[in-house]
Parts: sequence; C-alpha cells; structure tokens
Amino acid sequence: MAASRLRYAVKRYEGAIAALETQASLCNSSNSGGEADPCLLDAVLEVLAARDAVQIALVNRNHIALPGDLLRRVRELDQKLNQYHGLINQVVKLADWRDVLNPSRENWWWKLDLAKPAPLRDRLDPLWQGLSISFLTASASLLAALSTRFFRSGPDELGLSAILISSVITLLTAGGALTRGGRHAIEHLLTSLKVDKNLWDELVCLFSIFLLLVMGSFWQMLPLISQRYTAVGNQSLRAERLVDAREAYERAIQIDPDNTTAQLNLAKTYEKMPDMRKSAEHYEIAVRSGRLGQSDRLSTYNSLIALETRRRSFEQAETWLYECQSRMGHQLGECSTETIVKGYLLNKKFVEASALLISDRDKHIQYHTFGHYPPERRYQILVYLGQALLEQKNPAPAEQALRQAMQLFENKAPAHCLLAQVFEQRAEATQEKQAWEQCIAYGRLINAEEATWMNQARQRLAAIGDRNESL
Amino acid sequence: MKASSYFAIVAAFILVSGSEVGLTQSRSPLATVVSVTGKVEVKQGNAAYRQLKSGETLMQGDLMRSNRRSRGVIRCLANSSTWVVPDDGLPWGVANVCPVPRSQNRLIRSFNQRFSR
Repeated sequence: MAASRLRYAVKRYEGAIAALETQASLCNSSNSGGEADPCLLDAVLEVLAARDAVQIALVNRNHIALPGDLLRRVRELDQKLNQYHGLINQVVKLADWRDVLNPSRENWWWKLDLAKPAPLRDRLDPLWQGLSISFLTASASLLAALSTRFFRSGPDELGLSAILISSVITLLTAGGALTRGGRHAIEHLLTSLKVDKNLWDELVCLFSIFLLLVMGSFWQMLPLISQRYTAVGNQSLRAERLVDAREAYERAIQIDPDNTTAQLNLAKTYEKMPDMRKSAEHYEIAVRSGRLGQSDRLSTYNSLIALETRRRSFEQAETWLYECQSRMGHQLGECSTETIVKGYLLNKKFVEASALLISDRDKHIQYHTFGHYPPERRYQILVYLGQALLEQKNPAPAEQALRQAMQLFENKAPAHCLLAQVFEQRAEATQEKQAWEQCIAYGRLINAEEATWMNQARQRLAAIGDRNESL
Repeated sequence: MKASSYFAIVAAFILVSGSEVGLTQSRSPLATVVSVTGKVEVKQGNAAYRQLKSGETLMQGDLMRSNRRSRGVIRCLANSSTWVVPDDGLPWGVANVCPVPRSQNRLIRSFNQRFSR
C-alpha cells in the first residue's frame, strides 16, 4: 500500500518536473523579455506540491521497505529539481509560500531560495576551466612545433617515442578537459580514486600546468637532444659512414636550427660525399648565422673559398675572400687568397692570378700584414706571383719574386724549377742548367707538381747537354 | 701591363715582406751510401761531380748520377728505405726520395718560428 502510494506520488513528481521543463521552454520562447513568466507559476507550484506528496508517502510508509527503484528515481528527480532552483526563484517568492504553508525543516524544496552560496573554491571553477584550456592550448602548440621538428625528415626511434608520449598525454588531458567523453573518463578515474568532486576542476588545471611544464622542459631540452644527434653524426663521420652522418646532422639541425656545429659538420660531410653545392649551402648558412666564433668563422670562409675554387666558380670564391677579409680586419691575411690563386694557375688564368695577388698586396700594404705571415706562406705567395708573371712572359719581375722566395727557403724546389723556366724563356743556358739542377736537388717525387718539374728538368738537361759525357 | 709595373708589384711585395735571411740553408743529412758499383757520381753544392763512395753520408741538395750498367744504392735516414740511383746518366737528388728526418723538421720549424719575424 505504502509502495503504491509512493509510486503514485513519484509518478506525479516526475510528471510535474517534465511539465515544468516543457513549460519552461514554451514560456522562454514566447516571452523574450527575460522576466519570469507567470505561465510557469502553476508548473512550479505543482512540482513543489508533488514533492510534498512524495515526502508524505515516504514518511508514512509504516516501516515497510520501499522498492529501491522508486527511491533512486526520487533522488534523480530531486537532483533535477535542484537544477531548476534558479528558475523557481525567479517565478515564485518562496518566502511568501513558506509563510502560507509553514513547511517542516526537512522540506528543503520550499527553501531553495535559502540555498547557501557555493564556496569560493567552486565559484572559481570557471577560472580553473579557462586556465586549463589555455594551458592545454599552449601545450598543444608546443607539441605541434616539436612534432614538426622531429618529423621533418621522417621519424626515428627517439623522436617517435618522445612525440608519441607527449601526444598521448596532451590528447588525454585535452580530451578530458574539452570533450564530453573525455570528461566522463576523467570523472570515472577521479571517482575511482575517491577524489572530492569539488576538486576536479582544480586537479585538471594542475595537470594542464604540469603538462605545459613537461612540454616546456622538452622544448628547452631540444639543444641537448640536437647535440646528441651531432655526436652520433660525428661518430659516423669518423667511421666514414657518410649517409648516416648526413642523416644525424640533418636531424640535429631540424631539432635545433641554431646548432652551428652540426651545420658545419654537415657541410664537411657533403664535401666528402662529394656534393659541393650542398656543402657550400651549409657552410653559407653557418657563416651567415652569426653564431660562429672567430676561428670557426675563418675556417668556414676558407672552406667556402676552397669549395668554390674547386668548382671553378672563381668569382664566387673571390666574393667569399673579400667578405672574409672585410670581417677579419687586421687578420685579413688569414683568409686564404692562395687557394684561389692556385686555382687560377691550375686553370691557366694567369692574369686573374696576378690581379688577385696585386689586390691582396694593396691590402697587405694597408694593414702591414704580409711581414707577419709565416715564412712558408710568404714563400708560397712569392712563388705563385713568380709563376703568374712567368706565364705572362714577364721573366724579369718573375725572377725578382722567385729570388725573394729562395731567400726564404733555399732548399725548396718550386722557386728553383720556376726560375729555370725564366732562364729558359730568356735563353740563358748556363743559368738555366744550374737552376734545373737545383730543382732536381730539392724536388720531391711524392709531390706531383715537383715531380712534373723534375721530369721537365731532366729533359731540358739532356737537351742542354748535362748527360754524363762518358755515356 | 708593362714590365715596369710588374717590377713595382714585386718590389712592393718585397717591401711589405721585409728583408729575409735564408732560413733553411743548413744542409741536413738525408741518406747514407749502401753500395757503389761502377761509375756513380755525386755533386755537393757548387763543387764538380766526383765518384760516390760506399758509407758516405748524403745531404739535402746533393745530386747523384749513375752511368749505364753502374749501380749505386742509398738508404734514407728518415725511414731506412733503400733506393737505387737510376742508371740513366741524368742527375737525381737525394731529396727526391729521402725525406728530411722528423726531428730535423721540427728543429727547422722552431728555428723559423723564432727568427722569422
């Protein structure tokens, strides 16, 4: 009897709430003024009265156990009623009705206007939610940037695991915070961990901050990871595994574009491959980065000069030389003019060779630098000058340069061999013979250029008549 | 360009490089003569060719020549390798095959560094 009374009361309560819901949507659409519509008054009072009926049925159950499904339904409907407390307070002034009905203390639905304001912590929930979204957005952006850096040249084990872990964490957190399904999953998790429901938003926000910190730390670690790849590249380069070295350096650069060591080593790897164009490209990036120290910058400029000379792009090589000299100031002599001069001589561009030496000489005069070169270098420059002048059929100034070189190193063959050719040009046989002999006396067969000159020397000596007369 | 201009260029180089003393004119010993058969000659400095003798020390800048069917064998001091002077009657330098011993190389370099400026 008690159960059927309760069932009837619950059904009425259910119907009243459903009617309130329907009526609320109807009244809202017909009345856009924002003020509570009187059309809701009856629906609200019916809900409250229906709840009274349920309470009476519950109280008067005469110690009979009530069906669980009904009790659960009452609880659900009460939760719904609570959700409407704002609307109810707009429609009716509950205080007036309390005066009329004088409800007992436990009939809370007549006191919905007296509900305590939510604690500050709960009122801040929207703030936590907003912060969570901001942190998650920042984390997602970092994740996107990280993924780009790791995957540009295809994934590898380390990159894949790093990004996979980050992605899973980010997606879980973002999904949890931003999607209905994710929220359910998080609610389930937090419920099973017996975390107070009031703390959920704060916890999600904390987790978002933690995630952002993890991502930020990962971002800060990029130079270290890049260095690790550089070390791997160095090992491969030492072992002459050029493709592996190239891949490692490329990855190092993608992870940290400021890694100039990787940039330089990649250029060296391409140089060994050999892919001169790519090598020059990376040397150029390194030198333009502005992050190279003085000595690295100098060696990079000299590598560029040597590369372009080898590619016979003399104009480009000279451009690098001038840029190097302008950057090095008083140390302009460290920029390798000789490389280009030698390239010119090998390609029989003697006028260009002497022109470059002359322009270089003017700078040396300006900076008083030539005298500070090591003697080996001065010797080389004077020999190149002598050779360029000799090939332009200017034997006298060529002799002057070569004799100056011989004063520096009498026991080096090149100046003697070229001087012999000067005398040959001038048809001075005695001096020519003497110079060829010196060329042979100091020449080394392991040096291709000297070996060629010595071969020429023997031919000339045989022609002049140095062959042992007793032969 | 005229020859006089080139003279000026070279002169300018010489001026900026300063006056130099021959720095590595000392003649380093490079090899010893292992054996000599027939007419094998040596020319040291400005002296005329003379017969090579077994056991003799040969210096940097020395020239040798060997007649047909003669045989001169030398041993380099730097690496102990031996070399037979080609019997073509044309001059060959000891330095053609024998490098300067490492210790001498270092000495010369340090001397240059100290006194070249």
